Amino acid sequence: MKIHILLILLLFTLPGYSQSVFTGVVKNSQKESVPATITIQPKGSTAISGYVSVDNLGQYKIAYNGVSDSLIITVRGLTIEKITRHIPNRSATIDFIVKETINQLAEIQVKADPVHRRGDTLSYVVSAFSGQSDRVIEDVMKKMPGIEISPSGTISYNGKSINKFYIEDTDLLDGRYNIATRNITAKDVASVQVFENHQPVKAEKTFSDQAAINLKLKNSAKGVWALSALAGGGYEPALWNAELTAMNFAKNRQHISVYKGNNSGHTAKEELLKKYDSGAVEMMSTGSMLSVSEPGTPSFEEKRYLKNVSNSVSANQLFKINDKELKFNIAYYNERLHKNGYSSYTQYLPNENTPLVVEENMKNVSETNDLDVSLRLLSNNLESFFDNVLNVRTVWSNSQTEAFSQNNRQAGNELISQFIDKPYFSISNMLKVLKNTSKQTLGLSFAINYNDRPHHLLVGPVNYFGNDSLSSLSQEVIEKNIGGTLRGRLGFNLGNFSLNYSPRMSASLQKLKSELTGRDMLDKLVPAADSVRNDLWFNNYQVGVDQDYTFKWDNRFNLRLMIPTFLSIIMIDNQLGDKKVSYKRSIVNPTLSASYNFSPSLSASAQSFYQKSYGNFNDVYTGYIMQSYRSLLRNSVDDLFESSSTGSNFTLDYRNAMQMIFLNLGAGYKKSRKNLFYGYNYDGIVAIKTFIDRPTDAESYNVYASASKTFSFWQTKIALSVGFNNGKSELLLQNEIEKYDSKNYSTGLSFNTTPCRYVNLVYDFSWSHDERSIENASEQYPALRNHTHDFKVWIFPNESLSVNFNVDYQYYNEKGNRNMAFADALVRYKYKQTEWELECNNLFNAKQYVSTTYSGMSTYISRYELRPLSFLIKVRFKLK
Amino acid sequence: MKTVVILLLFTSLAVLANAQGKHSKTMPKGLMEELEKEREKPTKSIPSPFDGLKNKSLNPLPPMCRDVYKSHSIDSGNIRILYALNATNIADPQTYDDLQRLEIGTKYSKYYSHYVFQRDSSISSGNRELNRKYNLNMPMELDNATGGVTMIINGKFQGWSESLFAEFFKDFSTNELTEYCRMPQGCGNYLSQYTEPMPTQNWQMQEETQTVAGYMCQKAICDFRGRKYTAWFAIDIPISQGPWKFGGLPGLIMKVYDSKEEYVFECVGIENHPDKFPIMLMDTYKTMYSKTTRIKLNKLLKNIQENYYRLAGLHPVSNEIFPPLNPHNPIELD
Repeated sequence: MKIHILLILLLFTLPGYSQSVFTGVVKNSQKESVPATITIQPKGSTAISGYVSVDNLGQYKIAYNGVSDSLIITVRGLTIEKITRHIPNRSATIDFIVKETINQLAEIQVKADPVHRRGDTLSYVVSAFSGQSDRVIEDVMKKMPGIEISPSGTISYNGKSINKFYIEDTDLLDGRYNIATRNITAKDVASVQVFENHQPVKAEKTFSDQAAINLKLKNSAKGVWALSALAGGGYEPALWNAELTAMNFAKNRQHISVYKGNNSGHTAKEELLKKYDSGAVEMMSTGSMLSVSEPGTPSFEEKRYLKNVSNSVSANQLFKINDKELKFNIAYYNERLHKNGYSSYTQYLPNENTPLVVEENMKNVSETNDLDVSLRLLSNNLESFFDNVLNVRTVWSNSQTEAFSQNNRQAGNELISQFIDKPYFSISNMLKVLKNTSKQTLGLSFAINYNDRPHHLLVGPVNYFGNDSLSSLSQEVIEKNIGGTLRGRLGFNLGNFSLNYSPRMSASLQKLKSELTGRDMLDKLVPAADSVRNDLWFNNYQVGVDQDYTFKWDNRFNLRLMIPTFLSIIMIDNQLGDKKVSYKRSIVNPTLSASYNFSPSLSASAQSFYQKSYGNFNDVYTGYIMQSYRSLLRNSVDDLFESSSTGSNFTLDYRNAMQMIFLNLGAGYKKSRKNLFYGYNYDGIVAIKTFIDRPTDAESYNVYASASKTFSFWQTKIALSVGFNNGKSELLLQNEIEKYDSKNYSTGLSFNTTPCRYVNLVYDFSWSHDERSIENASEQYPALRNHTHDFKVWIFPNESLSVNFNVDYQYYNEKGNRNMAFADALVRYKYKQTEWELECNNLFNAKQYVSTTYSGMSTYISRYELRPLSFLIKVRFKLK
Repeated sequence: MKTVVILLLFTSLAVLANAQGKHSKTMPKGLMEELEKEREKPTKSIPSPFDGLKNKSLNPLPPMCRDVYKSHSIDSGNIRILYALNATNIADPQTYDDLQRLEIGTKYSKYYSHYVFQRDSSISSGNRELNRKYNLNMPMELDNATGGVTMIINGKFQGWSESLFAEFFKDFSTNELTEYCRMPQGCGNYLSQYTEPMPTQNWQMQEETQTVAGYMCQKAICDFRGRKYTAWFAIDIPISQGPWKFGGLPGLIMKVYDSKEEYVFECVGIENHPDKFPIMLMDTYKTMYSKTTRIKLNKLLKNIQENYYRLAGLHPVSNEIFPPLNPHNPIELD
């Protein structure tokens, strides 16, 4: 029995262990042997179970040990056609006659991802995002996920504006990075890099949540001069356009010079604005206390409305000597603008049935010259930091308005001329030194500045001040400021902790001298009374220690507590009344911020702060100042103005470079309190600043989210954003306190796609809804709704021809001009080294732009005269 | 850090001084400017391979660039295969330790580092251009004058390693393999070559399949010189070759790695060249590379990796110490 079972077992198992052996020869049709491989595999299997090479005589022998009934035997070789035979699992001789051929291998090439990450650096490959319509690098950067560029050219990365802009790891432009983004051609850039959490000072250990951008140029664009020019002309009116650029980016020196001039609607100054603070000294702005009436600036592309003659020059040169950088930046522009328009200002007043309405028909001409020169020496390495920047800026500008003004308070119309002269001068120097030892950071900084702002406003005739009629009123305001700050720095690095103490001393001396004089109808001088004069010094001395504690854990968690603590001594010396007052206040302004990285792509951060500040130049003068032809301001209180605020915000950041998804959402809350309550009383059409000695609170919160995703499919980028703001505050009008509540909802969408190489489509949409209400008010304010659509189509019939159509549509739910539509067209043609462009602007020949804005209990409607239908032909060519 | 900077300065200065001493008499006007210009054109702008390596261990310094024109053709081929060595992101060549090339001719195949070749040839062509322009005959032998920028290799690996600085030739007629191994800076006396019978791997077929770079591949495993390898080969590419010393499968090896994944080779490119390219052999291989055996070379490499500073004659300045050297971890463990 046992033997029987064994026998049966043997009989069944034997075939499984049987070996089939296949032999044969592989020859070509001339009976010659060829290099080839024989493989064997069971039928239905994708994996081979055996292989052997054919020997020099063309013979092979291959064995199969498996159980499959039928097998596939294949002969392959680089120089022969593959032959496959189905054979039974039985030893046999199988010969092949192969046909010789040249096998082309399918080429493979692993392509670089459009975006890749290395630590904190994200690199966007420019060629993966650029299309035929993109000329300069800004055009391409707009399509990169996570990078947003505002119409004014400000770059932000996942919702936060950048803190540095480098070309080849060098900051040549000191914040005027539009000179680079709008003049460097996309073709010269290999990749755009984002440095996340970028701390520009290498020796600094503190955490930064901002990103920087770096342009990596192609090797062909390095170390060579690139010179190009543009010339253009058009009609109506006679239009011209000119540009000249020169650049060179070598290893030890960089240079960009740009001249731009036009009268075709492109402002000169935008490119020259600093988009981030380059560590210069805090100074008085170039703005003014005084103003003339001007039509409200439309919120869309300036080439539609700007009637200008603009010239701008900038020259930027940088030398690297060892690890030091010497940089010279000069920026100058001259601009003459004509603004024509109409505005209607409605101020709702408590306890009055008819709101105050002031209508103005205006013609404004302004001229500005602005020269900014800076020289900087920088050495930035891990051990030490040295930075000295000397800056001189001078501005001379004036503006003149002829306003035909009418109102519902005094009968009759009046033509009022207003003229303002606004010169400005500043000089400053800032020195900053840091030195790192293994455990300590030592530092010193010293800044000094001087400012001068002698401004003058002339208005006439003046029939609306009380009963007097004057031929003109002349307001002079002279402001001067000299200040200095000395700051030390002692830092300790203890493992995960870093502690920084910065003792500081600062002094800021400000002088204000003002006088309002008039001329009567007989042109006789009406001298200034003391109530319309000011002559005072506002001096602020501060001494204290800024404490800064950082805790870092494992590159994941960051906690930072900053506590500036200082004593502020404010001395006000009113030389008119020979009155001297001084205040002493101690101030502690803590900020606590924390961030946590859940993963390289997901991080959260939160911040809370409390801030207090005392007094300000603008809150202490006691004589009236005519800020504009119908507003008079002064302060009539002896107490020191004091404001405090506290708030928190939270953001969640998701950035997945591989999937090209970027997401950020956030919320913020802020509460503030002022010890004095300022408001306005209207006397006829003149607003007069008043106050009551009672604190007033304001509260606001906001939530927002934005997301962008880029698909490789059709090179499509989609960006979405939503936001909500709510503010509650109090208003003081005609000595009445009103509780004011405003809400704003907004959403936006942008879409950019290239379905095929012949077409590129861009669509931008935005929608907003504003609501406001006043407690217990009889008046109901209608909600303001606005949406805009912008379609752009690019068509590329061939590689040298590009055609663009652009349609803008805006809607307001206001009476009158609800719908507005604009259209433009452009044809670009590349011919050898030149590029020709024909621009047709405002195809529908729209005459004016109407917009409505809300502010407090006032509504402001403005109409702005637009540029007419015009044609412009330009040619751009490379000089070198 | 300082030490390294001083070290770099020292070597480049010494070499420069050497070059100047030899050629200052015959050097035409403008040449120094040209040389400076050449040096200002880095292929990459990583400031220094040693940045941020304050407390990290280092590899020996890579040798100075060599003149790739001093070579001759021994064969020609029309298929070139590209392999990434230890890529962290296969789509980003900057994350490879090396990009390596397999060139298949009729009599020989050659396997070598493309990044090292690029580094050498950028300098060689610059020098050649200068020689042509000024009718000079500047010698461009090994350890020739070059600036610090030439230290930089395109991938993420910086420094010297046998994996990057050796070339492997398979001779199909004699069925032998020859390795020519370049040594780190300062170890020019140890340049070596050895020939061994064609290494074979005893591959075991596995059933699993997957696609690599678009080709359907089958798995095979083997033990080879101290490491367990997994290979994925493409049956549709009937080339029994692979990266480094691998081969012997019925199709091209598209990916191969050891069980610890210390050496990962993955195919990232296949090029057809209908007009054949030459397979080049450096002229210096005959004259300057002493013959040895594989086992002896491995011992020498271990010695060099572990005692590099001493063997290269580098001495730390004052009381500073050199950063530690990375441990010797060769691909062949026995």
